[in-house]
Amino acid sequence: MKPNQIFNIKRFGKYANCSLISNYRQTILFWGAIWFAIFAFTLLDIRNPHSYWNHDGWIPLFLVVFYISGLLYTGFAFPSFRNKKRTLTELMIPVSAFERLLYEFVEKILVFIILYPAIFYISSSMAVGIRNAIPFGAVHTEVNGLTTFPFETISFEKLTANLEPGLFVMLLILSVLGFVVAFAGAATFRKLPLIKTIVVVGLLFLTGIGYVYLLSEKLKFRHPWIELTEHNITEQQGFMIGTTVFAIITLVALAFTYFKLKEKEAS
Amino acid sequence: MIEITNLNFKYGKQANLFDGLSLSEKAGNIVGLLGKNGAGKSTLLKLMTGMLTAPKASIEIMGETPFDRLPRFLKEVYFVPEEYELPASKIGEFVKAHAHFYPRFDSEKLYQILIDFELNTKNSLSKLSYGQRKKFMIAFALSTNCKLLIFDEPTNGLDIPSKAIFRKVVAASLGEDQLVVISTHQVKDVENLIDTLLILDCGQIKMHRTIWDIAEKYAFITVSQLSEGETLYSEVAPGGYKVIKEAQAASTTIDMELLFNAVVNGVNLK
Repeated sequence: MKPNQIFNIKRFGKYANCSLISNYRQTILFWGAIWFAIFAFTLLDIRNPHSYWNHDGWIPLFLVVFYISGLLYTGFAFPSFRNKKRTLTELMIPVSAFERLLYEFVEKILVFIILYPAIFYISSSMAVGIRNAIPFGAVHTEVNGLTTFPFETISFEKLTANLEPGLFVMLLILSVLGFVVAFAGAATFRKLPLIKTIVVVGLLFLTGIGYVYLLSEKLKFRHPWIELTEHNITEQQGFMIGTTVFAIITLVALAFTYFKLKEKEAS
Repeated sequence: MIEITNLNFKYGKQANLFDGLSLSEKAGNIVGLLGKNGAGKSTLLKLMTGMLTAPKASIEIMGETPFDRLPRFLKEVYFVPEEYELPASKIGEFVKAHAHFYPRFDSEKLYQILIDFELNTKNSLSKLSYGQRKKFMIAFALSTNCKLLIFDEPTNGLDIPSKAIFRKVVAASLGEDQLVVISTHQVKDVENLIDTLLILDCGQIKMHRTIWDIAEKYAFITVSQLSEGETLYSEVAPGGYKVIKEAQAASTTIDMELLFNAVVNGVNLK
């Protein structure tokens, strides 16, 4: 097969354009909902005069909304596949499975990871600004005083301040892995993809844990490699091993998604 | 253009829908694919377009295996299914998003057919009726100028004037290198349009002939009394019987419905 039939930048651009035109309403709705959720939760969080928003009180909200919205967004990737009739229309578009996968990966994962902090920054800062403008009490803003519009109060450096560099990279890859697994589920299941994916991953995880427990606790099996790694690796090496394992699982999940797209039928 | 050999296909644990079906068809024709409900017409079309796979069969369309769904194949095939869902965009937006995938797309032809069908590019697809959406899909499909155009029950939901327009625009807008396959169980709707007849029944192709061949060999007439020996097939009709006989003199107009009934009732029309 010619490489041109797997990927062609011009065709990919046409497909991106086509998908954006077809789905822009849902995309705007999704980002609008994220913006509103952050805005509303920020207002609720800072209504208490003793809110510690300016320290790192925003971090739990940032992470919770990030993971929940990210899983919802990626878990409902390939929106045409939720419906038999739209599946056929989608599969008839002259693009390759790889281009379809790449577009959804870029839109649902990369763009999300890049855009989310910006949306969070703007939305929560607007909420804090509005709260500060209301005369009954104000947010404690140590940095800029009570009435300052606090764009500066959110510093994303705080996200990584207390983390080892290796741990941060590992957690970032783990986040991408979570999204890619949800993404693979969206390509596999037509109805309730996210719930089904969580159930399948949960069962696989429990099976894995049960297997390790059976080997190590019941059968008292100790492989020499386990002994070696337990006592001879540094924390950084541990993070590197974790990062590598998560990256490999991410690639496997992406390959699985690709083959699911290749084999997709519109019955 | 279409080469299918030894196609066996079934859904899950159901009985075989196709048993060793083989089919060959060249460009330049308008093929009417007729069959009863559940005969497998839509399934056959989906296999031709790569929407379904039959791993053990040899299916080649324009020299490609449809299920590979390569872009170079898909840009030469347009399939209008019986039921579909379109995005909630305007006609103009849909055209802008999809037309550039088809290298021979003809915008002028599209706008002319839309005018014929009394549709406007500012219409929102979500607000169109089922029949109007179908008309738009037919217009778009014809404008792609794809080498293989496939319509599954295209006249379902069309009003009477639109059915006539459909026949007119299909007949008028096709080139020599194109093949059109129209699946329908409304036989009357494709009379005077198709030039090749394909009748599918019980997992097999029961008839695959050109209209000229049929007209040359059979006479379709109405008689008041049945005469023994000459009649190949007959049906009661107002004032007598509709009859298929072997043609003897000038050709008659083909009664597609009568012919279809004869074939699916097992009459051997050699």
